[in-house]
Amino acid sequence: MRLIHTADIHLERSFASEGFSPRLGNRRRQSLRQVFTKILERARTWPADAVLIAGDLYEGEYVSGETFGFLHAAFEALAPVPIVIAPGNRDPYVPGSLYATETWPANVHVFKESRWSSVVLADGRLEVHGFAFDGSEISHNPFGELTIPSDDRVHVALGHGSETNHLPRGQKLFCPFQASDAVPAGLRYLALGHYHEAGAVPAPGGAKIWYSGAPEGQTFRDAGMRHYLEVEIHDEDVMVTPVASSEVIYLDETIDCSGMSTTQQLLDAVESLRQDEAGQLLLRLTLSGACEPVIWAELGAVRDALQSQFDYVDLVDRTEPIEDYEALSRENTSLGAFARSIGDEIRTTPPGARQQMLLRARDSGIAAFRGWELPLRGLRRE
Amino acid sequence: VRIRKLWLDGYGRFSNRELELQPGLQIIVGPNEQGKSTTRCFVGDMLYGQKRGGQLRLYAENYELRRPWNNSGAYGGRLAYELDSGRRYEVHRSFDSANEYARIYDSERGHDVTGDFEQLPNREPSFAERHLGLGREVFLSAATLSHVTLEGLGNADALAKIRDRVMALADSGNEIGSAKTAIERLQARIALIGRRDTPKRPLPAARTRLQDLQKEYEEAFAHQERLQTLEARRRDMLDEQARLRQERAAAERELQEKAQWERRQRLEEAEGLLKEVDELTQRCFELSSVRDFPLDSVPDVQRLEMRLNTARAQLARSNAQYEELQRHLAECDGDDAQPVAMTDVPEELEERLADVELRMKSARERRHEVETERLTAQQRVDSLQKTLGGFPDFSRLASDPVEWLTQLATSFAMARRAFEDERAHYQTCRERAERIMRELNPMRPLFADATELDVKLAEYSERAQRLQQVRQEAQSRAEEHRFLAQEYEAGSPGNKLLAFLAGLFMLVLIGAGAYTGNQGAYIPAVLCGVLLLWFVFHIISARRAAQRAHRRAEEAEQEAEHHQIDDAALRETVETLMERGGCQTVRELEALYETYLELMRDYEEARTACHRQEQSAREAQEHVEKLFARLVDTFDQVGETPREHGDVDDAAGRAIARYQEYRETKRRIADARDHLAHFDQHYKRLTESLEQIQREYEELSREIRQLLRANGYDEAKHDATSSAVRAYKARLSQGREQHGRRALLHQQGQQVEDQRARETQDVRALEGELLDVLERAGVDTLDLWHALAALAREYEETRVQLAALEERVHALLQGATIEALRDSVKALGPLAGGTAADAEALRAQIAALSEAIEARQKEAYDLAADLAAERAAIRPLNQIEEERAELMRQVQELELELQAASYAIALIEESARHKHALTAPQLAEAASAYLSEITGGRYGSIGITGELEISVRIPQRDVMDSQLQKRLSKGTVDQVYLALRLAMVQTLSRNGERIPMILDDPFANYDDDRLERTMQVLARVAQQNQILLFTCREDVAAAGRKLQVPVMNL
Repeated sequence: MRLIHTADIHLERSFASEGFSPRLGNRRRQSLRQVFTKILERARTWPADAVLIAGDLYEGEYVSGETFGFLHAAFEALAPVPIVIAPGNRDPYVPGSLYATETWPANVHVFKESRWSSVVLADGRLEVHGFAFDGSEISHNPFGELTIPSDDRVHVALGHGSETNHLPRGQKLFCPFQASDAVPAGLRYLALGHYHEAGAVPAPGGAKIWYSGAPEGQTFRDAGMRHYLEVEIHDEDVMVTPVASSEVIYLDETIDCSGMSTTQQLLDAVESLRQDEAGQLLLRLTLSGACEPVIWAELGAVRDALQSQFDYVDLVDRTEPIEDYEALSRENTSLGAFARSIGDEIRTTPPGARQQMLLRARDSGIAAFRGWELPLRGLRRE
Repeated sequence: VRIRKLWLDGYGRFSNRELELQPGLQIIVGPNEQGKSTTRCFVGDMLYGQKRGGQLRLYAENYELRRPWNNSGAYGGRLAYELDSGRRYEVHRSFDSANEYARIYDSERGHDVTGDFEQLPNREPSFAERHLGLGREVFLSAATLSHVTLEGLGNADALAKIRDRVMALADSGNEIGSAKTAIERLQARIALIGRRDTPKRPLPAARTRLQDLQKEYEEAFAHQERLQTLEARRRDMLDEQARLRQERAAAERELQEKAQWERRQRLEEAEGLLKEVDELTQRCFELSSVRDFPLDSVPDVQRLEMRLNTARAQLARSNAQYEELQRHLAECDGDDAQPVAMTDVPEELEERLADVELRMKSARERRHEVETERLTAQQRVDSLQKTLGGFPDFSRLASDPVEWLTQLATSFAMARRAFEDERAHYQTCRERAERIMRELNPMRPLFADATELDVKLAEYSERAQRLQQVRQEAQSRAEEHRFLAQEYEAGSPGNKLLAFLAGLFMLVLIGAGAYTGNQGAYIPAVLCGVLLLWFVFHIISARRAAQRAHRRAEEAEQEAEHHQIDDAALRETVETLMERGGCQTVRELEALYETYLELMRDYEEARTACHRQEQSAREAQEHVEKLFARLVDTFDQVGETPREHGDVDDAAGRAIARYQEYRETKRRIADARDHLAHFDQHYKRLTESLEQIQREYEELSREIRQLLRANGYDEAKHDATSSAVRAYKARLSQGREQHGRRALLHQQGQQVEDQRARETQDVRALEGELLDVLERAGVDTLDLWHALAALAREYEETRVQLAALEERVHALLQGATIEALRDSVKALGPLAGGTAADAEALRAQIAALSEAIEARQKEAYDLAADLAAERAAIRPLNQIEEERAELMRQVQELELELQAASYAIALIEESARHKHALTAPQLAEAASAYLSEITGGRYGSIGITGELEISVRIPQRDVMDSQLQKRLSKGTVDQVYLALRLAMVQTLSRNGERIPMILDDPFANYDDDRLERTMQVLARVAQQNQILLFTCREDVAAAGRKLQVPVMNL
């Protein structure tokens, strides 16, 4: 039995949180479609007995008839390979959703309820159990309630939720469960969605639990290559193979600029970051450490230079000037008094917007005394 | 700090070079390119290292430049220095990156004390910062003065430039970063970000765009709902389409069944028709005998038959007419015909008679009408006379009562308005006076009893200003005394230590002398004792001096505090008033008093105007009352009685209206009388005219009647002549008509006779023609011909029917044979039923369904087009969100930048103001002393304000002048700057170690005298702050030597 397991495609998502421009956002949305199309193409040629989509196929907030048109054509082209969808928190089965309103091709099965139900496929050899989010929060957590009948079929379950023992940092909790409760006797494979990193969750018995991860990175938190899963279920064994699928690689890197005196040194350091990565690269580069004013002044040029190597570059300037503010504040000058006064205020201000403002005011004031060019953050470079 | 010795092991052009420096002024002479600047840099590098900043371990730009030229391998050296307290240190450095180190040794104890100093982030020990109290920047900028620094100072705005540099030194320790320039840079930064009044700058533009995007987002959101509605409609449409397609498919199936049924029907029908064909064929055979009958001659026969019948009927009618005419003629011949002997009445007489009769009738009718109108006019005159009697006699009032009444009412209204105006003015005056009084009330208790307060306040201000000056002077003195006290106290610990050592030595020596019995030991003991006494004396005298200075400082402060304005009465008066008036300054009190005086003047004016206005109002009221009394009398004559002032206008209006009615009535009476006279005359004229017409009628009647009688007609039986004429004319025309009728009958009889002959001939010709045709058909009678023609026609019709049936059969068989159709029907088997439906109805239903499907398709297409247009009309939400997020981030960052820059400006201003206020007096005092000494007393006063504005007192004009480039030479400007720099270093040294100064040929524009005096000043300053003077000029060295200043050649 061959299955393709994927999830978290997030078609039509907004990239506002990443600070992408609408133009880049459009490109990224298109690449999500391309990756998804390639997965379906693989399902056709392999050939897979079924494609399992464990939620968040699309972002319900932004879909349109055109999105459905794309999905309809893609799914129809895959017929007769069945596609089983378990709607997740971003594409819940709700009135007015594409799942509820549109007529899907005959080879597509969408779970509609928050309780387990099943569909029999592959000439009766495979039974896929699944449930659907019926809102952005599920009204009923079905994990732990699945029962598998004793028969000759291969039983597979499909769902969207958070395995609490393996919750990634920064990930929100949806439909939480523990692996030990989620796998009833007779279940061979639990296909999960929600976590964007592909990975197995240890499970009791002979069953396997896998998160397929997102097949294409969504944010800079999804740095590196992404995957979908090819699952082969034999009589005795379940074999899961993650297949690299990203067209675009997110890189979220930090470079310490201390000791750098020219922008070339910085560019060389960035170049070393991309040595192992191929394909389109989106870079968020955080610069830290004590930085020469000349590098400050040339950050725009650095960005321009990097744009020829990366599809997108976001330079986050967290550098500090080379000036020793503590020593400066001991000086018997107006500058010293300024550094002393604002330094005291920074120390007594709790972290937050006010402290950010004070830190920037200190940098700005000292740069103004010294005649350094401190680039304005927030200015668009054309 | 004093730099005692330099070991340049390997540094630039030097290797293994030692320079021993004196603690005071040390002149280092050397020609250009001999290493003066290198030595200067060496000092800085040894103290602070070669790193670019406190945070970075990166070397400065000149790191490679200073590498030893001879590649000796050693890149570094040593520097020995001594603190003011006498402690000595040695710095050992290697700048070579491979073997870099910096160690500090306590020279007295020989210990490595590097660890005693905090290590900076650039890994440099912070010994120089701690000992000098200055960072690298400040030391290199403030304590170093080179000829390069002085370039350009003598040009325009020299003092402004000096001020900028002094300010920059005070603000940041270097010469480019003053608080002012920093603020200007920050303001430029703010301008670059943009404020509300610069809408095109990034921040306002981004905010505006953000608002637009928010609007677009809301619209797009609403748009999405519309899209969903459209989508739902489209889906409904597609569902409907699918349903219709199903219906159509069902109808098509039914139609197919119907076709099968029809085939069966066709077979049945074809078989029936074939039977009919057989029957008709049989009949054709029976009628085959008349097959050749000339049916084509049927129309000819029918036409001839019809014409013959017509001709015979016409002949019969002509015979009957002839007989009728003969009968009428016989009747006419039987009548009694009268001879025609009467003559006609002449037409002229008849016309005249009719005309006279018509005119007579018309004249009578007109006269009756005029009489009726005359009576109506008389009644109208009587009625109007009665109405006129009800009005007052306006003719006795005035020639034009309307104008008179209007004038009266207008005069009264004007008088009333004048009264109202006067009263309103009076009210305004009173209110103004009251308002001024209200404003005055709070001030009256303050100033009511005050006399010549303005003079007192001016005097008080002057005295207060003087007092302020005195206080400032006292505070300056207090500051000086406190400074002196600090200086005394600063020297005390050293003296105490020395006194302690002297005492210790003395005791040791006395003890040694006593123990060893060596009298010689007492001599140094005595000397130590003397030293002890000397130090104790100094300690005591310094303490006393410090105490004295403290006391004087306190006295000066007390004096500053206790100075008051000496005129107690004046002070009490003014300060009491200030307190009561809530004024913070005398100027405020002055302004308040001025307001009071002004209000008092205004009040008097207002009160006088008020009295004047009250009198005017009273007079106006009396005038109004008089006028009203006169009006009441006058209006009484026209029937009006106004009771109040307000009734006058109405009463005048009513009187005028009544007068207008009176005048209208009179005009109508005159008109009615004119009409009456006109009707009388008309009636008379009509009566005369009627009598004349009657006479004319009688004469004409006589003439006509004579004529009638002459023609034998008895006219006497007619009263009216006209009726007699009509009867006579009737009689005459009757006779003439009978005669004409007989002639006509004769003529008609002849004509009918001729016609009868022609018709008889026609009948005979037609009968011959018909017989010819019958003979050609082989018959001799017309009836037989008709019978044969009917059979021939039946034969033809049967043939046509047969052909039609065969055609129908052919159509039913649709090209096949009856046998084939029978076979196909047999193959269909039994019908499923439902053959009742009409095929046409089914086709119509299918057509309607197709049409509906097409309509739905079109509608769905239109909806899809609408959807596409709607989608195209606005961007998707995700794109708007992305742009909005991008802009929000930009706005947040720019706002942070804006706030940061604004906050930095505020803080820098505050820091600089405070620093400048502290620095300015000290700088001014010290710099003035130095400049006076350098210029030999010519320029002795430098003024520095809290804003570090610099001015120099010009002796020729005895004023403080800030336009130095106009008054002073370049050399003097350099000297002003040197004085300020010396003062600056002194200021920086005030609370810590005395900072050594490094001067690099700053005397390019000095003359010999001032150079010598400057050297004296430097020598004196160098007693406190070590000065290393690098020069390539021998005259400088000579001036130094003259003052016993050590000179070293490089």
